[in-house]
Amino acid sequence: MRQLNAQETDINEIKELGFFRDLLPEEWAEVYALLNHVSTIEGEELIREGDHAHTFFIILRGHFMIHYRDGRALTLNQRGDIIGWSTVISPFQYTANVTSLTEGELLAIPGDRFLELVQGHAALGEKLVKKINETLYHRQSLD
Amino acid sequence: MNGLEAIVYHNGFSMAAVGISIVFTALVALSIIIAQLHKLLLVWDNRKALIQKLRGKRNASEAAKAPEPDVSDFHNIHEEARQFNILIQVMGEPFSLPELIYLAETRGIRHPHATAAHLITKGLVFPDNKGFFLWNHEVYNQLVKGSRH
Repeated sequence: MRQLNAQETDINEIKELGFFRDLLPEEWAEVYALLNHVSTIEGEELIREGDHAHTFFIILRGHFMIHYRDGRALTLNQRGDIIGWSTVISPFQYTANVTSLTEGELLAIPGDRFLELVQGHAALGEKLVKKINETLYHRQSLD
Repeated sequence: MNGLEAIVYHNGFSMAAVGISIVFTALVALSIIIAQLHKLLLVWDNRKALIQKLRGKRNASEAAKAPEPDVSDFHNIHEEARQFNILIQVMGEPFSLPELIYLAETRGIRHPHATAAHLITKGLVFPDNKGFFLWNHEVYNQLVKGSRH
């Protein structure tokens, strides 16, 4: 993954992503401080099943494949789709592999700091976990 | 001179000790190599991504300014679809997307990951909602017909 600089990030556009939309200005400020803008290349392995959940990702651009050991997979290419919910759910280990199918851009939040944020701010944590649960609900067909 | 006396006289115990040391050293070295083999295999499996990553780092400053790569040939959906269709016929349906990409990679098909993404975007490959994927024969037939006209 390559770290992109701040000029390559449109803050207002990011703020409008579904994942952040319901946040209050002060909550957004807290989350924004944790965001890193990164890019991936075709075929790059983003997440490995069983690894410690080190990063939470939000897709900005590109096509990503979540795949399991038994051959099942799903693909994500919608702006605002999330990857890496294991960062906030025990035992904090990734449950699937994620590979970048195309060049892509993502927002990355360090897992430990994201967990601290979710656990340390009740209202903010509830909003973010609710968004994550909504995503999980839609992906349940694979579980 | 027989027995232990002969062994001692001809340095038998020393030689046995050296022999054991050599064998054990070799076994330890072998076990370390085997224990680390998975890392080597991982590097080998991800060699393309690693090479691209290294190249990307080397040309980091240029890459930021570089124009979009020429991918005109890569966007030839007919050829991509034909190649992937052959592979899917071999695999059977529904098929595993990661396996399809792996198979394409081992067959030397260029940009297997991006091609899979392209075919999904174009509706030629679609999920069965159970984690596997299907080939859209209708869309493919239309594509083939269209390319003949």
